[in-house]
Amino acid sequence: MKPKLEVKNLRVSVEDKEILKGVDLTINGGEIHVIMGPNGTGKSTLSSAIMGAPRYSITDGEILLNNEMVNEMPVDERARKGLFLAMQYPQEVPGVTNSDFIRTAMQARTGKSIPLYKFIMDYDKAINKLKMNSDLPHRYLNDGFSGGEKKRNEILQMLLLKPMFAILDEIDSGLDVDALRIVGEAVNSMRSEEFGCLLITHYQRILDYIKPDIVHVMMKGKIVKTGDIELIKKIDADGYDWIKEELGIVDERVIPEERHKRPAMIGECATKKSLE
Amino acid sequence: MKVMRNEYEEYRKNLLNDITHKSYPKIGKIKIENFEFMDLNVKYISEEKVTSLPENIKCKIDDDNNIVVLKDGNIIFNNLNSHFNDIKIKTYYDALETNDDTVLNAFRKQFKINEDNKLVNINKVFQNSFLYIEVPKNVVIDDELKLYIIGEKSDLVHYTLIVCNESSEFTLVEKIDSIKPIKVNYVSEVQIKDNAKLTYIGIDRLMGKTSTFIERKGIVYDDGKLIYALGQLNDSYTVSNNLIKLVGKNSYCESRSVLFTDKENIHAITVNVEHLSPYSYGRIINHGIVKDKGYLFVDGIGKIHQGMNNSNSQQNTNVITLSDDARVIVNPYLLIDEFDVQAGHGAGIGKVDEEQLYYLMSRGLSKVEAEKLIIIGFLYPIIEMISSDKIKTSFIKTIENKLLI
Repeated sequence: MKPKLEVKNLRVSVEDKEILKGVDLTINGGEIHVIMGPNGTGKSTLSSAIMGAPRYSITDGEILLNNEMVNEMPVDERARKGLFLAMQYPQEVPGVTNSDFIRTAMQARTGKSIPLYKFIMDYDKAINKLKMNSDLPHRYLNDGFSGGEKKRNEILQMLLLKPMFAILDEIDSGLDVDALRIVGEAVNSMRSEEFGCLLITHYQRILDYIKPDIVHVMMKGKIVKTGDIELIKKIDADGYDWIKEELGIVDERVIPEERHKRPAMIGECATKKSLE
Repeated sequence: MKVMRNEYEEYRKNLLNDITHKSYPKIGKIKIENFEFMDLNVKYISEEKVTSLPENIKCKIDDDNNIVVLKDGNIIFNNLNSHFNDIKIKTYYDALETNDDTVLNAFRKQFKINEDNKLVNINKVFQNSFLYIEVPKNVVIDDELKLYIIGEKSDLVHYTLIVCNESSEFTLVEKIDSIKPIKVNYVSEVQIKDNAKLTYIGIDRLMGKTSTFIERKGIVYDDGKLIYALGQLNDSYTVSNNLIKLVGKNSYCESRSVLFTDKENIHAITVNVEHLSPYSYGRIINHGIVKDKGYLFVDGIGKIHQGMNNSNSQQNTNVITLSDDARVIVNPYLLIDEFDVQAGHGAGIGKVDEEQLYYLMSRGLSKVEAEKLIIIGFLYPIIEMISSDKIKTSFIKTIENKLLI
């Protein structure tokens, strides 16, 4: 049976503000979907909600993985069932080595212990495939990694964990052309009937390497348009304005742009001012 | 039974007089007088060397490769390989027997110094164990020397003096332990001569509801390098100091500590790096884990004196609290009396980071597994300094056991 991920009329709030206003999406095994759209339209919220990040509360609708509702399932259980999210901002965890972490994760995913020898073989293979440094296993998880290294490390984890569905949230940001190609090839190598992928991006460039089957455009917390590769070409040429016009949308955002907070200044550290 | 230091009776009387009048150092609102550091039961009983360790000691030894076991003031076991032949390791009693003046003079010298800290003077007055370690010039030893300091028959009042001569290099793993709950007053002093390097790993694992005072002080001369990696896992009330003086140009020190405070324990830690030379570099890293009703108090002090230009003083203290009753106070002080320097300080107290937890769990790790991985990872200031896998494992095991209870 082909895996299936369904999102039905999903409404999600963050801190009492509704971000997703009824999203419908079905991804079958073997398909690669892409969600495009300008900033602040709810794309990342959708990926976090599917994965089960804390702070995102589902107020209506359902998420089904192989016909099983996962709305209430904690994030780790969803991961073990085969969901994977390559994060936009992967966390740094000093002290935990990449190899310890990924081996523990692989064992959690498969439910069996993996012999060290086999693990090292697989890990080395994946490192080579992504052209990462061979000292990666001994480095701390994402600690001091460049933006591009972090993104590649996400893809490396995907290769080793072999999820049923991978959501790649802006995997292309911070990658140069070579890295983009390497990541693209890695994702393509996963392609099979047993694997579905949701790509979130607002650049077209990555789509030169990963050819999506279905293209969605998100605005105002909803999927407003769905099409095939032709849709990308049109967006590439004309931007999003024609969609906004067509649908009568003035402001496509649901998340207001974050106001730039003034960082603490040197010298304020120990003064009363910094406490206020 | 030999009686120690008759010839220093006079100095000792002065110190005794002094400590009865002096008050304890002030550490926050902690009532140190309640720890009864003066109320000691010390004696010295000489013990012969053994060829194999008795079971009750053996269980305290996590790695038996290149070890020296100092029990109640006597070296009872030593299996160092030939790489250590150049190193001098002697107790006071060894030195008396062989009339070793270097050691005896070093021993005598300490009584002539009246310290500010009452607890150190208590050490001098009641001392029943003294060890001298000297690494000669240009001797570089790759193997780690593991020193087990164990108290059993009475309270333990010990003093270690380590002299690392010019361009020597050496790693010491020191473990302070006890067979039954005893009070411990432990002072170690390290001298890092020009271009010498010492990595000093100290792991304290004292049991029982007693009190412990530990002071490790170091002085670093030109181009010297001193790295402390200290793990404090005591069950006892603990006052612990790590005091470093950078007196040489281009001297370097790191003070790394992992502190674990649980049950109703009180641990007061002071780390002080004093820059007494230009171009000196000091770095403090403290990682604390506090559980149950534990109370952890950390003073980190980086002090750059006037005229000590181009010095760099950095410190960072992070504490994870695992319960709502845990109490933590961290003071990251920078005392700087010079313009042309670099310095940085930071401190953070909080629960296990939610975002890190989510990240690990999003790969399928259960919350318990993820938390364990993060907490064990949090011990890295020490773990990455230890090369013995056995000691690493045993350190992690001790923490894991403490996390379970």
